[in-house]
Amino acid sequence: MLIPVEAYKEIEKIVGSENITADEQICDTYSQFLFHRPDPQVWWQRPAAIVMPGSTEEVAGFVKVCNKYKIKYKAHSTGYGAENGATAPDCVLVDLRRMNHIVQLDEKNMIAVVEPYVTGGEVEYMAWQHGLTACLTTAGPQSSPLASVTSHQGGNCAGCSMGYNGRNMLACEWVSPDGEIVKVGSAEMDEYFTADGPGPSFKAMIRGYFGFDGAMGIFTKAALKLYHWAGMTDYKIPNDGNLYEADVEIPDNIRFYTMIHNEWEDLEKAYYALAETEVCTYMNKFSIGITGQAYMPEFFEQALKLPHLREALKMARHKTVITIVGNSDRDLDYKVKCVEQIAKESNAILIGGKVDNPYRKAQVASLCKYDGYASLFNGPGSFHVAMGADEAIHVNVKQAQEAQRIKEGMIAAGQCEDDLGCGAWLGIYEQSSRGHNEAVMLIDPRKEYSLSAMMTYSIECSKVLATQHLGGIGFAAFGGRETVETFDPITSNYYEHTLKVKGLLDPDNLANMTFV
Amino acid sequence: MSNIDAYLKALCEDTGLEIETDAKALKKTIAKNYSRSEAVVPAAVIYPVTVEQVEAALKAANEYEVPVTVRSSAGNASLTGTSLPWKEGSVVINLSKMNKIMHIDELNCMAIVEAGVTFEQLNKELKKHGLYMEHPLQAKAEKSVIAALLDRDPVLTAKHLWDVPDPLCAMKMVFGNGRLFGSGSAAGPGTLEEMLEAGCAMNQSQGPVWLDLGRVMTGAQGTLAICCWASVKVKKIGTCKKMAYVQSDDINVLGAYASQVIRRRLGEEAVLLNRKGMSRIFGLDEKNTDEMPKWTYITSVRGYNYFPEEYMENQYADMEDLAAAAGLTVSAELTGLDNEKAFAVLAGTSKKNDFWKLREGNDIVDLFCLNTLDVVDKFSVLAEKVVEKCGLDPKELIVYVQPSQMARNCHIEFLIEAGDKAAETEKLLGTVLLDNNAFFSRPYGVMEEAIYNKYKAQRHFMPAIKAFFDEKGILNPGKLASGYAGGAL
Repeated sequence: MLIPVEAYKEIEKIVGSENITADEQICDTYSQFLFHRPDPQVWWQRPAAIVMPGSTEEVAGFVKVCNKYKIKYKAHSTGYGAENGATAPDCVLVDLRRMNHIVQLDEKNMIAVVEPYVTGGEVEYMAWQHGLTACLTTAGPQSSPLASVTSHQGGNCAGCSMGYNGRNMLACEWVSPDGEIVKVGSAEMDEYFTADGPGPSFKAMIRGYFGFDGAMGIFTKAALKLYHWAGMTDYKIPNDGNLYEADVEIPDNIRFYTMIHNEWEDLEKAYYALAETEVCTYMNKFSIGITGQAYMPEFFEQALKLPHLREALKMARHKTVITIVGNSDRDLDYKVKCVEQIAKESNAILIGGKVDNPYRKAQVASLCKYDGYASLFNGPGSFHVAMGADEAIHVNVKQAQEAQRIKEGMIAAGQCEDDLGCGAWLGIYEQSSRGHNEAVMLIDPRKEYSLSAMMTYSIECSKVLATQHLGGIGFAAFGGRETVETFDPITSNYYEHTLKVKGLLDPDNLANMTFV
Repeated sequence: MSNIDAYLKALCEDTGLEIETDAKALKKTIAKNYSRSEAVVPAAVIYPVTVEQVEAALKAANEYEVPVTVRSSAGNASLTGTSLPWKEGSVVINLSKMNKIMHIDELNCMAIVEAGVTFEQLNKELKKHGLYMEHPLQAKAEKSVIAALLDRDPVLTAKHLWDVPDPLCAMKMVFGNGRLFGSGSAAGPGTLEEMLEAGCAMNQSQGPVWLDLGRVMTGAQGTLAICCWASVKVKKIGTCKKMAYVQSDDINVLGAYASQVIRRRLGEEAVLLNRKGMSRIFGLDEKNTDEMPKWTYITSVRGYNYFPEEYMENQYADMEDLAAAAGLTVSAELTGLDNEKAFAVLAGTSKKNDFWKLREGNDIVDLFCLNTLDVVDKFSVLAEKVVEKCGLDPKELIVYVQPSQMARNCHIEFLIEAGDKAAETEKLLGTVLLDNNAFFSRPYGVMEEAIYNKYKAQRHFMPAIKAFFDEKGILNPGKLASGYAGGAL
């Protein structure tokens, strides 16, 4: 056993013998996470033990034992990428699946308080019954919104109307790295309407832009911001869960569009107008290459070999999907008029309107709960994300163009999969000029050249970001030690300051950081 | 040579900073202390004009262990006492001469301002670009934009307040220990000039990566770092506008209505006021307010570039439908109030030396907390009882409710001119509200200790936060002392 027997026994006393194991076969099932980095020694760790606390008090008791014996640990909610996995062989993984309650849904104040293993789908379903919606991420409805708002970036296709999850947490309950139970913000009075105060914002010390990915204590309750929702209250997926067979009744006040631009500058113009008019509930640019490679790889591979078809696909590579929801008939009419006008002004092809065929129904359903994306990227390890932070829309577009240039070079050199170069997952946040760009590359973890391409792409994108000053570090942080060393001296010594924050709150570094 | 003399000598030699040491002038700097916090005459006031000078002043303060208090706004009035020194031998770093509007970005609706830029100054400049800055209710004309927003003073448009510290974004700051840091977009990579040249809007408030230190320093009352410049979100003025008024005697009904309106992103600036608040803020005479329902929800509607009239009328009609469902009525006019004036009040700052919270010669009680719209009724009833018990007329109590973060919470402010009963009333009202779960997210003055005694959870970590920014404790010593005193780390 990789942790002291005495420690194991003490933890067992806290959580019960049925909720701790060091069985190697079970531990192995918690080791299969690959995301953003190829290094097996970093990502494919078998934890020393698995612990499943059932309450905040048990979490606190466990963390105190870890402090006593200097045992490393990592919190794991529903799990998605390597950030939820053990980062060393002597690390205990804290599986929070027993803490799975929606503690409160406050319709009046648009707040839901959840435990770590509550899934996005559960919250969304409950919120819909109250005319509200939660900001779920593209990780899918099976993933934990608590993990997203407390510990990761939280990008999503609803960013235009709901922001990203780095800004979607109100108060929370947190077990500190020394095992204290801390009610952050107004949570101390068992109300969850604000994260900040009294005085300075302690919340911002423990949850920065990207979150610590389980390396800063353990969050046990979090208040999610909910948003107004005038859409459907449910939909069912029969049989084998194929979304395209979904029995979706989409209300008449919802419209779905695909807006296709051939030129970047036209897309940029449209995005500024969509932000100004605040018409979108969901919107995002999807790359036709990524979609094609992911959904129908064999067809896509053949299609790219035919020059005419290749050019035709290229013409449609800047494809933005838009869902609008009318709060009233007049609101819907106005939004439809705006979308049509914006498409016209930006030389776009606009397809869509009423959600009256299976494709549009599936798309809308998919955007609302991200079922489709979860099935598309059902195992982290199938794609990688590079580039920078959110900035002005036109800066994020420049990021996307540069990433495309880099990838086209790699495709031409036969270094990576051919997806026509553009992998931009691009959108707007908070009905404003703030853009969001993720430079996506599909990878195949079974192929060495694919993993190597991922790192090359990440590092080359980072270099462009640093030398051309295209916004902050953002997703470049996934590039590992090399990007940290590139950016730290030219980005306010952010890494040095991060280690200082970590050192003050978790001096023994028991909850390991992931992306370094 | 005392520490302070050595400090000033070093600064003079190294930086050429403007330094005020004249006793008469120094005395004046604390002459308008409207708080009930004590203040001492500073040993000197220094006026930096560059980030480098602020950095040098704080590095030297650490070296010579000189306490420093920061002031950003013009003038010498202080409502909370935060910007006045409390410890003998303090130096005031006065940022009012760092007052450049560094950049206005029409496309991205952003402005970058130095710490001394005031609301009046910024809005005057923005107007030339068809823009305006959303600000606190009738903000003091001479108030620093950055100081107000760092203090988490709520601005008037809840639907644009997605999260703290909106509308504040990136910040260039100097920690108490003298280290320079950029929060959000201000971190780089590259200089501000390089980033602007590349087209950056500097509109990211969080980061880099694991950090969000700009937000940490909000509500810190100048005890952690000094913000030298920051980017702020601004809005388009629009091409047409309209006012909407909804009134009720029942704040529960009106508050719920406000929440429904704001969550649908209807209207722009929006506030809830009681009768006395309407009279004070909008200058209505008491004959008009006496005949009004007890509470008024006031909001503006604007139209922009795309189908402006249609957008505006749709918004208004949607508000009417929601009102009808709640048994309320929306009016486009209010008796005794000119709409242009109402719009100007919502969109504008106070006139110089005529701030709505201050009346010369009158000692005021001004208490505010952050809670939810559904407790306004309970708190208001309690507040009326307290002021009556203290021998004051409850009709004179101003209640101002500012929905925030899309109405998920709200700022609730109680203000009354209390003369010689001010101290007693403030203490009693503060205690009663605290006992009833008022969340004083920004603790000031006499209530500070009681607030930190009730909300203890974060005190464990407060010294760690202070140590991160300002290990020698030179920034604003004495302020938030109860908070910083409670830690165990």
